[in-house]
Amino acid sequence: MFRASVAERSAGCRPFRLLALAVLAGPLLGTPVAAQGLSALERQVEAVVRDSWGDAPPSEARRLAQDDTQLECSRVRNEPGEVLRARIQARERERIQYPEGGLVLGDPVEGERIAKDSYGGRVGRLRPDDPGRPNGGSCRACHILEPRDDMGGTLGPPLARFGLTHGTGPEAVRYVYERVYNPHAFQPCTEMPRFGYHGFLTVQQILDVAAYLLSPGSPVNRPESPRQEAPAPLRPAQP
Amino acid sequence: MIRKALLALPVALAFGVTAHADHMQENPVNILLGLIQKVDSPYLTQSEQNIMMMEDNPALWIVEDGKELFYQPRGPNNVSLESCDFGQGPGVLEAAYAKMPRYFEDTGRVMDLEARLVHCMMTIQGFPADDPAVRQRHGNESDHMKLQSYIASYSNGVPWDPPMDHPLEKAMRDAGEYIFFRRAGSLDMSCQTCHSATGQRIRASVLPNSSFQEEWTKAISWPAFRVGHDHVRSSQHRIRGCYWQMRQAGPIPGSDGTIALISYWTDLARGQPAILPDMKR
Ligand code: HEC
Ligand code: HEC
Repeated sequence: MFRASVAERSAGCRPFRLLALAVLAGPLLGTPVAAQGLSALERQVEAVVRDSWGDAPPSEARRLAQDDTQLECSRVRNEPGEVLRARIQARERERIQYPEGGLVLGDPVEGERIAKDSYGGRVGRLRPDDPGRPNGGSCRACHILEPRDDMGGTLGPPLARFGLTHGTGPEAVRYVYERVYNPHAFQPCTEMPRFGYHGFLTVQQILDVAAYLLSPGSPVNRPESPRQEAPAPLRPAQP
Repeated sequence: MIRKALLALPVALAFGVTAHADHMQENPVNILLGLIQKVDSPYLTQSEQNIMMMEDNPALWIVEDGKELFYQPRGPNNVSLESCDFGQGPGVLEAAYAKMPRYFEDTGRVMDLEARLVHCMMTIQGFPADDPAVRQRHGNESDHMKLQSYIASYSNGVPWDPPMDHPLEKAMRDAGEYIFFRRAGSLDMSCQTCHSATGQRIRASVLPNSSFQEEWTKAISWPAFRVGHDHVRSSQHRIRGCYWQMRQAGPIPGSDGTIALISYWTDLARGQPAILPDMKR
């Protein structure tokens, strides 16, 4: 069925290279999807995807390739059963790498900047980011970070006062580090990105963010009580 | 609170549209208020200010510009777009957009409004592909946004009803569903990440839930005037913006992948009235 629609697009421009193309060249991470066997429908839609993103430069086209966890979570619409949960969790735990200098809290001020910054990684003709500038963590896009935070998102739980319940002991530092490095090790198919695994944040940046979340003096852990109700939106979001 | 205040509005606004496009029976804001009356949705009510401004939506002027362009003989062939078939027969605009994307026999493709317009501009009016009329797809000044806004305005208040009769229509919808849930990139995101729950916010913006039909019909009602951009924007523009946000590469405008996504998202809103032109944040 699908072949027709892909074939139409290709007619006259380039030969239609059927299903052989289904798997994108060279996935960056994890087990290549090719090894896992795609269904006929998946292969056909993957051909549409490849075709529809066909003009992206190679560095950007690589982002289209799915790794094992992305593919598995897409298939189950992020609701893995028990067996898959265990498999993803174990695999993603294996993928966590630790800083050579040990798990030592970084700079909370720098951490605050990173947590509130959404810069980085955006590509395309529409306002691409400068790859030379460090990425931000976009934590605030999904989390209310501080007791009085009108701009925090609600896709994830509020992190305001996080340090007051967790303290700054080695267990707490390890938890935040691992959770930010690879959240699928805790919650398979979570919406939260694997910041460390993808190298979107550096190990040092994650330790800085951990300091921001955990340090007693951080604005995260200000004593004010959190607001009762989620505040109303204040200004239009871009883009 | 906001909701209560808004419910008082429809009567006052009922005649708002007559100053603009005389083919439109109702101001789009009334369609929105009808939905707000029916359901509780933080997305629909998130900007009281926008709802107030919608009566004088700048997009209504763009609709007027589009009307002029539509009937004007243009292009190398010096003919108007009146013989263009948007699926309901040559020149029939009533409810045509609400029944797109659809399969067109003459091209053998499933096309969205933008692709169909490109097709007619090139085949009927004779514009070459690189003529600004065809090539420029974005911005208030573009022929595309004017024409798309005009054509779409004939579907204001019309329930979305993309046909699923041809196998390719069904196949494109299914491909769109697959792409919607396809996680990739360094933030591990898919459309589902941000559009599968009601009332969640990314920063301060309330996200529309793709499985809450009354909410989703507003989300997919494009063209819409985007207040933050000060421009009327299209479905294709929104898709590009969301991929940019996801840190994935943008799809080729008008590619099957983009039309598949639009087929799927329109199917999700099936039966709910379109708000055209809409106003968004
Ligand atoms: C796309 C949305 C998203 C982004 C961006 C995001 N998170 Fe999360 N986060 C979540 C969700 C959803 C959860 C809930 C648990 C889960 O599913 O993993 C979560 C859970 C957490 C938790 C565990 C909370 C607890 O009570 O144990 C921590 C800590 C956390 N996030 C920190 C961060 C930090 C730091 C950043 C930025 C570097 C960040 N998150 C960015 C969505 C996000
Ligand atoms: C990182 C979160 C995120 C992801 C992932 C995402 N979007 Fe969005 N989307 C948004 C935000 C934020 C808005 C603007 C909502 C607002 O202003 O209230 C939006 C708006 C929309 C709208 C129009 C509603 C409006 O009010 O502007 C549609 C339709 C839409 N997205 C579809 C998609 C599709 C299709 C995908 C996948 C290709 C996708 N989104 C992926 C965050 C996201």
